[in-house]
Amino acid sequence: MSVSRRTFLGGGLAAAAVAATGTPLLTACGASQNDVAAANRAVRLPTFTKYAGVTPDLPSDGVVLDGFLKYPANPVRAITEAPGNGRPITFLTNIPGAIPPAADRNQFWQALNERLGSELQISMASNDEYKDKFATRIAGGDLPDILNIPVDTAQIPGLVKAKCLDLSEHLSGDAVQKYPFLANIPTDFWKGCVFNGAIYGVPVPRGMSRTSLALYREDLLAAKGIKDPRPKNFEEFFDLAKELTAAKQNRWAWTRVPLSTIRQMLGVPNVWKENGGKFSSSYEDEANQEALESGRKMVAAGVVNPDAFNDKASARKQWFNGGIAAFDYDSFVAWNQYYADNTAGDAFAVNMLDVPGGTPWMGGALNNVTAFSKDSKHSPETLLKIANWMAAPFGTEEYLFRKYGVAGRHYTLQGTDPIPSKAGVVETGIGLQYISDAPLSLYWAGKPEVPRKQHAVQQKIAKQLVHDASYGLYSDTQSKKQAQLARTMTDLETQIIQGKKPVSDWARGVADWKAAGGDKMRSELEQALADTAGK
Amino acid sequence: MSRRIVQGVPMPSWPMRIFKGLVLLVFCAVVIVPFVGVLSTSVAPNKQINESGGLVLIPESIDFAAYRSLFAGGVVTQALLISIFVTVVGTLLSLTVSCLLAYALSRPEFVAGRPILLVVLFSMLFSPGIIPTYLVVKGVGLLDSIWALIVPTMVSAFNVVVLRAFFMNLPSELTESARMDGAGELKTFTYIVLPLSRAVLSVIGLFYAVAYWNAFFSALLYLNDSRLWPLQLVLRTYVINDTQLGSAELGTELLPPQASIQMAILVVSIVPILLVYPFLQRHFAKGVLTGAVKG
Repeated sequence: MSVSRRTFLGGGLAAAAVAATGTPLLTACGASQNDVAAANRAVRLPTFTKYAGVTPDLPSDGVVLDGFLKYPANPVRAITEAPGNGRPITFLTNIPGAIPPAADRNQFWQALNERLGSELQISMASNDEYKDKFATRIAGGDLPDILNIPVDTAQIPGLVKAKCLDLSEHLSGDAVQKYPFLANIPTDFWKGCVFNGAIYGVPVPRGMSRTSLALYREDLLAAKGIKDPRPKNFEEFFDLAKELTAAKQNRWAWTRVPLSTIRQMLGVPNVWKENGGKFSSSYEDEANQEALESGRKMVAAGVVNPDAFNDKASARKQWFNGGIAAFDYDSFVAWNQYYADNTAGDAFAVNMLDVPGGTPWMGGALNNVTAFSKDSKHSPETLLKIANWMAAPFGTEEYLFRKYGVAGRHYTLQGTDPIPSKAGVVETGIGLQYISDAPLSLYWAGKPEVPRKQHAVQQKIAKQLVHDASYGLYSDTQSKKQAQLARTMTDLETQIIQGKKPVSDWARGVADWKAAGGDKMRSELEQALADTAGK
Repeated sequence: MSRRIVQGVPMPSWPMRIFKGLVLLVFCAVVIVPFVGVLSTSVAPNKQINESGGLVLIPESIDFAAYRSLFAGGVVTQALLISIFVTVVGTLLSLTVSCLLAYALSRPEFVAGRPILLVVLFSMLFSPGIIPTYLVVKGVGLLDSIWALIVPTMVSAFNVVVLRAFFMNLPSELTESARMDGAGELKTFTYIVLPLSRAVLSVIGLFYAVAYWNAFFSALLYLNDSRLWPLQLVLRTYVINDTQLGSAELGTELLPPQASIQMAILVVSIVPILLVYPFLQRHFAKGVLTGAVKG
């Protein structure tokens, strides 16, 4: 029952929510779509001005992230004036972890309110339940001042038009300089905040930090005499996996079938590829047949943990941490997380394979767009000042407080590195990173080799990275149907690599996908690109 | 050798008895082993859980860290109190309201009985949907109130129908004689009908209690203040997020839910209902069947 409810809520409810407001779903109408795209083209995106107050140990080049070997000593307090106006500000968000203690029992939250100069009232839901809560609150006309809009929300243009503030005059071009840490967010991330010819929100940037590749346990490979593995093709990659598998000893190479890695090796595009104005989906790429065949081989050879198909992230983490599996496909963020969860002792070391000659996929640009309610009693300036405060980057005192809390209670300093306490982990998890955030920096407290390795991998893949060509373009069909269609394709993929269906079924699956909405998405994206040509 | 006869039934031969014993043992194991696994994993050290791939049957050492971390910070303790309040008060109110409604509907002389019964049955077939319910809850000012967890689900049409059927099957001679002795409707209901309905009341009470104890969705929608969240919603944030933490999440040092914490959550959420059930079990089959045979 919950599935049907969720399916219903996933697409229909958000649409119903907008419909209930009486606002026309403007971008869905063919006639007005050109006008909207043209208007989007006219939007001047905020001018990027990199914050110069902190110097990274491993500098960024625009694609590779800044790396820090230790937290800068005496971090500078970059914002002296409290951004709030003394009145409570409400915020609706998902939270990634367990529910934190409420404000009256949470010293971090209390200290935050003091620094902001306004009480921040946060209404939370877990990641999985957020969409239900979000859609219901919107439909009920019960909007907070600050709203976390996940990027896969259906029909965002209609929603923001009906309910949210147009921020263009405050952020467009050089106007953003008034908020120096929002100006520190690279221009590309702002593309995802433009709807109906206006800037409707503040981005919560991700991109490179979410780029996923094959993570491996360096210590386990070293024990087998393998140092710096560099498989150049699938055969070498497969041999490496076989070498690390000893099923009788309860050891497998992989936590899951590395289909994405194989696809990247074979040059399959990242979600959508654009060539001369024509779009093609990653599903349609011919190399998928070979990728599926290879995935099948790996499953048949038993190099993947046999429980891999139950698809639980925590199980994968346990296998990788416990040494049951040596490889996992995940992001730079997960890399750090593995160090946080480490139970294998000091020898524990993680590294990442690059994709020689292939097409590593750039991670999704945004986590969410943060919009401000039209009905808010606060001025847009106040809310933007709050967002600006939340985007103070690594190395500032604001960042140290935001991510780690108050010294003594939430973390202890080891040199200049903050080491979080248990209270710190629990109390700081109130979802602030979804109001706004600085682009991620590579850093792990007390382990300078972690950012070094991460930086090295990013430099290796930077030139090959391929982006999703649909980013910043709106397709109504994609917004409504993509989640459901993608699920069908993933199911088919799983059945094929498990050997339950032949590889030849993939072609039929792709044809069905096209008919069910894939072709429509393509034409909408092509149209959107044509309308914004030159942008 | 003649076979022993117990209560008129010949005892099976030894091999047969051993075979039957083994079969029963297997069935017991199927039920008990997962429970033992849950309990053991909740107290096993994290390292052992990782090395065994997620489930531990015999812990190397016993460590209540998972329970301590659940109850540290006061979030789970507070939620537990809220859940107990909602379950106890909600069940009492639900039973009261449902019994009154069902009793009225079971009286043939009740004037508007049939149309009201139709309305009750209608709500069983067509639920109002999430947004209309939200708007009603908002409209009556229950948002961010603990009563939002009780009032909207106070009457279950199914339970009312079961109760009504039970009341209708009570011998009418009893109520008639009470009336002849001068008892009014309320007195008849309180002194005659209710004492005879203990079985069905225990069962319906258990239905309501389990529903209140397990409910999380209304809290998710109606309560913005996480201090008022019931146990199930708080615990879900530990378990449900699990599926997403893999690649998606940032945060700097967010600990993911560990297997031991997840298992401790299962124990915490199951135990209270498990403790109540044996006391009501003897009424269970009887209570439901009595109401169900005749309508």
